[in-house]
Amino acid sequence: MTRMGDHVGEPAIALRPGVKRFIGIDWDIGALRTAGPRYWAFVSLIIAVLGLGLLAWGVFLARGTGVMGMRDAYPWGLWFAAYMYYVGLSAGGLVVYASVHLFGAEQFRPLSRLAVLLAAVLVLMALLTIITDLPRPWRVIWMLLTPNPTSPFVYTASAATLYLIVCLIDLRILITGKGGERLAYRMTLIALPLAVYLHTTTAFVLALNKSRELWNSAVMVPIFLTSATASGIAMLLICAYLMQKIGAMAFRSSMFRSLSTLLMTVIIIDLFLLAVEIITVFWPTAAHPGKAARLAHFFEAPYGLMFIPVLVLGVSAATLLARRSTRHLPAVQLTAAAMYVVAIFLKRYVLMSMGFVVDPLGQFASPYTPSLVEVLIALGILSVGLLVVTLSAKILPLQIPEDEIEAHRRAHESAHSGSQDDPVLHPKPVLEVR
Amino acid sequence: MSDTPASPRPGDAATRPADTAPPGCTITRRRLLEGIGATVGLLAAGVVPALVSALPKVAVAAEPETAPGAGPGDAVSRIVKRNAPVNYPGRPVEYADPAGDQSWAMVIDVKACIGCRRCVYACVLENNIGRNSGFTYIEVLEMEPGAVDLESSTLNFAEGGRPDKWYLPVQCMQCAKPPCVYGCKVKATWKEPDGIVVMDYDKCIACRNCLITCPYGARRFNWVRPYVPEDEVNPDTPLDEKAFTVEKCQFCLHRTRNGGTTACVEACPVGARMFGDLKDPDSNVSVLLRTRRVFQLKEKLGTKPMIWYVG
Amino acid sequence: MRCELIDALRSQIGSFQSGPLSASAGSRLAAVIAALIVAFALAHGSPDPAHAGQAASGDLYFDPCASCHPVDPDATRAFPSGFEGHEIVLVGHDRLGEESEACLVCHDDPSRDPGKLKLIDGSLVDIAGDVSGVCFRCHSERYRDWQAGTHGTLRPSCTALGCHDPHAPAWTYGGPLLPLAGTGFQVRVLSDRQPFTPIAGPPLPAPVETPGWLVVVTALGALASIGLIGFMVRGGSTR
Repeated sequence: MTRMGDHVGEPAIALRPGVKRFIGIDWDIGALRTAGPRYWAFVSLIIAVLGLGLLAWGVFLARGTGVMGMRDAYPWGLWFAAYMYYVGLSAGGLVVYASVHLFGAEQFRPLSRLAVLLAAVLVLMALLTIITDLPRPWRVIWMLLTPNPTSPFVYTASAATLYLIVCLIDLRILITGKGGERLAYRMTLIALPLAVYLHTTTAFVLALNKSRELWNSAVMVPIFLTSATASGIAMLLICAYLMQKIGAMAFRSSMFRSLSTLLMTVIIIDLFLLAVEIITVFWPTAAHPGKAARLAHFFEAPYGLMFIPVLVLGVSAATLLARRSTRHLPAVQLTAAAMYVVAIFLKRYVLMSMGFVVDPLGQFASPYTPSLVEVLIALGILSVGLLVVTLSAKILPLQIPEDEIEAHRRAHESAHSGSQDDPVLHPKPVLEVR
Repeated sequence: MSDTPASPRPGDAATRPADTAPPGCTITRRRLLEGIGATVGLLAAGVVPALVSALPKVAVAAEPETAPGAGPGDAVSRIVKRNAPVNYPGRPVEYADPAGDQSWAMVIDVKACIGCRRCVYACVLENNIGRNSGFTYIEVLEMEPGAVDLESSTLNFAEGGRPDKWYLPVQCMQCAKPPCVYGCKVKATWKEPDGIVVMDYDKCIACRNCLITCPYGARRFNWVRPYVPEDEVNPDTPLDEKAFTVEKCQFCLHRTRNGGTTACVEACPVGARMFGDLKDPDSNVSVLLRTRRVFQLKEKLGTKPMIWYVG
Repeated sequence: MRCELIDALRSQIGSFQSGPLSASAGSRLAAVIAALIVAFALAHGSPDPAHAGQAASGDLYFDPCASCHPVDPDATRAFPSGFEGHEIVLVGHDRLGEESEACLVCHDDPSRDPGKLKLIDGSLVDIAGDVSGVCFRCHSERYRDWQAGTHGTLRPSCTALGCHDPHAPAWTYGGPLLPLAGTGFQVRVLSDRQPFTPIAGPPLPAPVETPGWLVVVTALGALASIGLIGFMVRGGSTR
């Protein structure tokens, strides 16, 4: 375990032109001027979608919940699927960052700033899904004034807020380097349990309902954690590739390889837990009346269209990464990661909507389809996250200086007398490395 | 006003804090301090009356639980005991106070029920349920003979009174351990001392968590602003406050607390519904629970419903 | 008036005893005596308070009789005749005995005392009064429920005949239609459990509102997005 007492010193005193210092962070505003037209095309695309999302939110606030596709048979919809998904991505990405400090996984150190940034952005998106779902958002003040301790949602919402704050503080500590390795380690000790806690409570929002048999299962919590970790790692992997592609950051190929190995392991655990859950719930000797009908729903037209891909994508992602001879190929890694990111979203969506197939009085509800306003709001929230990340890629110093990484690595190696001798890749687009 | 549930307290400034907050302001230090001060003030405004309001409830809870008649059998007294008031210190709402030491309950005779849906629509008229809202408090299920199997029941039956079916009216069970109350994030719903689970429309944040947690599908959300024709509006029950909030059967507390009975009981043409006070050993529900064999819906879940079915 | 009724009864019973049983009426036919129970009650201007809810207020009376023989609660005119053509079908209570034996389980012998019903101790009770005690002979549990106020207490002073036709008691209701809508009490009787249409079905969920202009704006936005994506892709290929 690495603990560097002294940090590599104060940031450069002479700021480059276009760089503004604010709250101790060098904001490289000037980098935006040198950005290419494709960058600006992407930003304007995001802003266009964001505008549509804002418009849809305005429509929702003005006209009320009637514009949503949800009804009494399915009181929660796309927003909750997105909430679970974003929280999972957020918590999962942080695990990688935490492993740097907790388990001495030095090969993930270059990812740390990116991981924390993504965690903060994603949990912000998760919170936005809650806010945009409420027709009277100002009444949320009651969650502060009279929170109900028996409601699991209170815990997950407060944990998400706390987690956002912790992530932002952590990001600042990582970028400014104040407090050194020791403070970063301590922040990890706060952030990692908080991430686990956040996702556990999110799972409990579903699992603690005796009214919904599909969700009322203890394995829901570990499944949430593994799904979160897997999708978070996959997300981080994709983001790291993109950052490298646009030249914002640079990584070693060994880092991607370690990430892929980790991803494969978690995917396999996740699929295993899913199989366990399905068997326990639907096996004839364990199934409650009506469960068999619901099992059929998982594989039939409206819901099967989303649940079967979950299995197919999950299994193929694990298979793709299973071969050691091809695991280092970026195409394989990217495909598998993208497959699993999609699979987890579908899984969340199916989990949410399948819970409502049979209402508490045993009536079968017609399948839930999100309305245009819901979809636009969800896209708007997505674009908020993308916008922050896209701008951060240019403005924020996400790349950890090479000498700093090297210093950490040396210290780590000398401490453990390990012989990890990976060649440091030149910061070039990694797609050229074959 | 005292009869109207969920009417806001005058002078409760904390109800709509964001209405007056300027959007998109930059945070200076002074503004931040103001914000903190305002938050503390709001906290005080919210918590102090809540604490004050909690006092009489505590006093009620401290009273002995035995019914004055002391006559009911063990089962009934147990029921009365477990229906003890749950003290949720939420923002007080001007409900009509419980008239006395009561514990309301209902017994429904499923042998008599013919599935005519009169209770359903009497309830719609009585409680100002929006004609466009697309829900009713009461749902009558057409059950297959042989079991209480909700999965095989039909809600949307076109023909009532069929001799080869039986009919099960379901509404809010006013559970002694209500999952909706436990699940509400903001304590906008709670159990009153007389056993009625009530709802504060001005506090509901419309998260619909109670719709998720209710095992009886009794919680209803107003997805659209409820519309009731002007000549059909019942002035005794709220209407406009219910827009975009959750509502539910409240045992017609504006009637029952004033000595009346519920609208569904009044409307039932076959007298299948009995409404009364469990703590009164001579009330019809107490007599029925003593003398008849009854069952409850989803008893296994342990929600302890206050509606019994007698076959 | 009493004489008229007795004559009607006698002629009716006589026709039953002499003629063959009507095929359309099913297996067991019984006398019309009981058909007049309510008729009696209704025809007697002011019945005693025990069954005031049934007749005096005009709330509840049997539709099978009242639909053809309109009853004025404050009737001063004679009871309408025309009962000769009626046949009474016992449903459920046909188990009480063969043919007219079943009638005599509750009714006293019409030749002796047509206006009386038999109680459990053999004493007779006037057919125009509260005859719930007759039902008590078999339905003691229900009777106790009724006395305890847990059965049939909905309407004031409701007696056994207020809701049940003794000739088809299995399932009968005469009840108020939409009392809250202000239509007042109307009478409807469904003898024997038979299908009917409920007053309305469960409502449909409110339709999803999507403003038309939002669809248009979204379509425009989607077009612009496709253009931007195209620009990005092309920019990538020509770089």
